[in-house]
Amino acid sequence: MRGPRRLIEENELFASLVDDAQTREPNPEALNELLDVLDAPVAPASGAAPAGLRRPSPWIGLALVGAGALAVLGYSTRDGRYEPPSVTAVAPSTPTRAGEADVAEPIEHAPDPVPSLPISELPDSKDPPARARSIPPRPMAAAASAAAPVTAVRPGAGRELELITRARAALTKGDARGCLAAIAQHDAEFPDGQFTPEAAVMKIEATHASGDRAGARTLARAFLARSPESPYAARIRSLLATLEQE
Amino acid sequence: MTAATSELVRTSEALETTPVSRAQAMTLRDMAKTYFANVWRFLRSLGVPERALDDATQEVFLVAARKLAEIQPGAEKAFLFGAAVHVAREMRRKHGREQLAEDPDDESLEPAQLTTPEDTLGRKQEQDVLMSLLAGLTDELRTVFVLYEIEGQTMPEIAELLGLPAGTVASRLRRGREQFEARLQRHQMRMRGDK
Repeated sequence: MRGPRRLIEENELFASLVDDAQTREPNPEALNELLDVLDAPVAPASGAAPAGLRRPSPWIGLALVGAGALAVLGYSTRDGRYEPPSVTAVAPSTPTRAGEADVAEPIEHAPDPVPSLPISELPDSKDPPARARSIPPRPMAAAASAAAPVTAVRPGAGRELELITRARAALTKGDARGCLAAIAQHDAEFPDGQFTPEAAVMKIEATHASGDRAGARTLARAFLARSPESPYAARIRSLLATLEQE
Repeated sequence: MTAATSELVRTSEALETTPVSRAQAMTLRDMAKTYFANVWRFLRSLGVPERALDDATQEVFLVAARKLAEIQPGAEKAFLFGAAVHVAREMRRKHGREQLAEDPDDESLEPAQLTTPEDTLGRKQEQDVLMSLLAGLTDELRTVFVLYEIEGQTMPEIAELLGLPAGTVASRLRRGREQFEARLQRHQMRMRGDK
């Protein structure tokens, strides 16, 4: 059964929209979290807990000899809060913006579960799902989805946007120093931010506007060497040509 | 994205009870590394809200982890996309449709000359035109349209993936395409300044 000719072959605009959509990427952290979990079930034959969830061996060692129990308790209740080691083990992937109480809260004490996708709806499912294998509740995800704005997916996006907007506004007003200050702040806080290319372009323009032609030339050349295919490359090349004529 | 951390931990605990061999785990890792971005983009095209995309993508792979024994070698992507269709349906139901653009003829779809950083900044804040146009299709039509026109699947592959008769797939594709093209044409007219 042959299908009709694909729209992507017939319509240039659609092809460009699809191309643009294909450049979108997920947050790498989401993949890393998933890989951590996929790693965890690979337990030794003894059936020990997954490494990602296992308490650190020093703690176990201390417990075994009995001498470290009080020390563990003392550490865990530091500042009057309980900090379960199992949560600590996954803490690197826990949002730093989450309240400390959230991080310190034991998983077992999570809010009431919210039902998720039933296995029975999944394709090729012939056996009724065993209870232990059903998709577990997602209390934190549900709570976050309900309460958090879209930007919560990319922590700091609002702040980054604010800095870029401030930089642009300053440049538009002719305040090159203000622009450069905002960009310096941006680069310090978001060295690999969503708007790093825009910041780099504005930095070149602001440097030029401040009268530092040599600095602008250097930055422009570095930009073109680093990102020759950037959408801003033509713009920077044009600026560089102007700079080299001055 | 860490909203699903507790979910992942719980799932890890659940997986602990399943006999996952090291070889299978490697397969899962490979699948995740290879297809994570594809599944993410597919879910996005299917209308999963941006705020739920990472969770939904993880969910698809957790499903794969639980059903690893059912995945035929070489059919990993098809399985993942099949699971993604179900997860997307569930996510849309749970979160409601993302308000990309209630009206695809909305002024927000006006083209812009994207030549300055601030234009691009604005562009990143604006809703994606493709997603807005897709939002005009029903879920059924959208799924078939996305699989065929964006993901490049063949009609027999789509029929198998969705468990639908070939005729139904053809019919949905035809209707989806008609509707999408009409919206796209209106958008193009605007781009040319016609009305």
